[in-house]
Amino acid sequence: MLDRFRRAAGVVWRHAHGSVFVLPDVRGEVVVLTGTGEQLWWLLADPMTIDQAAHRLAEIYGVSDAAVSRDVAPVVTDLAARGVLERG
Amino acid sequence: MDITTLLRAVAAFGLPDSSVDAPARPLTETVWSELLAHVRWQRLTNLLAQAVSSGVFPATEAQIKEAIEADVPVLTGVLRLEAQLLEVADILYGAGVRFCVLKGPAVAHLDYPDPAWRCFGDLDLLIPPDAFDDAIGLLTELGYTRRFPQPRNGFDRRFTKSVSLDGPGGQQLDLHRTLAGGGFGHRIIVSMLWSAASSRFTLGGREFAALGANERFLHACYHLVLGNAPPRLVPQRDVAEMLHNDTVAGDRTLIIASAWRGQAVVAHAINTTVENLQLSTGNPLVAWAREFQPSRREQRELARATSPRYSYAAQAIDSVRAIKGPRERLAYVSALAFPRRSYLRGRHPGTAARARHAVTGVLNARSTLKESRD
Repeated sequence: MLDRFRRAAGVVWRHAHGSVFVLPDVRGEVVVLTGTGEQLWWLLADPMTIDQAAHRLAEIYGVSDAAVSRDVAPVVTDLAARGVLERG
Repeated sequence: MDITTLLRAVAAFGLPDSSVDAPARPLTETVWSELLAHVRWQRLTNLLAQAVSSGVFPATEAQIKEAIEADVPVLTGVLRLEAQLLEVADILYGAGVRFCVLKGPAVAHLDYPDPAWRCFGDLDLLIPPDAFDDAIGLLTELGYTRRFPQPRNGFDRRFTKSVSLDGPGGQQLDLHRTLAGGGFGHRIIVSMLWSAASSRFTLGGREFAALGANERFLHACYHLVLGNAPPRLVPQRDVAEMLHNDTVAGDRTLIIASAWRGQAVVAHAINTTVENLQLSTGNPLVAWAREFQPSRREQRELARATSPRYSYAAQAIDSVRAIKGPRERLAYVSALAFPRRSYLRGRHPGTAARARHAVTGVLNARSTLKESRD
């Protein structure tokens, strides 16, 4: 939880139709971020830990940090595995 | 409202200076289907989707869904082209070949309020003439193939407008020596483009060079007038965006246009855009274009170059007239008159086809030249 994450440097993206479309690799698939995924994208323009991101999301949605943290961790891990986010 | 007016309403979506009206109510299914087909062809799906989603252009829920569904593949195509640009940059920069990004990605990131408002279907890079052959060689190693061989060695770096390459994934990449073909293209001073490659934009964490704002504007004008007959709406939107921005300095733009002897092209592009997108911008270039009087020679050349029948042969004749110096002219003519066999095989397979092409070319050129004189 102490690792900091941010948008991966080499990705290309567009914000359109209420979603963020991200292409991590020229030969890869486009990842469409909506809802929490989209919010994470905007938050992670600046590097932050999963706990920090969860806290910010909890503020946005008006719920407890604990409730959001459980959901955020797997999403961040998945997006990092797909090259959308990176540690740093 | 007819399809032309509806298309202009889509192309003008979000332009603060435009008075093109959207329809008052959702279109019938027949008209909507026709509009959507034209919008796809004009590469305006992004603007249509934004216009109907925002409610500015009235549409049914089903039509909004259809517009977004039409745009998503275009959007993902744009992202693939930008990722391709990063890959090409690795190769060219890695080998010390500099380049300048033209049109689509550069205009989207530098001239539009949001890059999602400008889509594109290929990549265009300006390459220094002395690095042209190296760039093609490097990209060939990466799996790119050129559509047509050059007529003779050295033709690309001396005379060509651009060379089209097909990427290993089917994507198109155009390497440009200059910004336009024909006589107007040959009068562009290529060295000025390189001293003007002063804009920068960031993509995928990497910085790219683009033409300066004035030269980007001129390129948009040339592309609008000389790219397609009749002119398409995306370049008109580009010109409208740039006229709206304060980045284009009228005086500087006109000095460059004059050096390229391209004022007639620029005035025509501005007047076409102002008329079609009903602009009321206070940019002084608009007043200049309205008052500009092309010479008879410019009128004739413009009429030829904007004709749907402007053949390759007529373009070559205009090019010969514009190329400076008898030796350069001779080199250009002899390369086209006596090209390598591989050049002819690529363009016109078979002896009969080559002969037919030669005769048709001469007849078309004569007819276009005669029309423009009449």
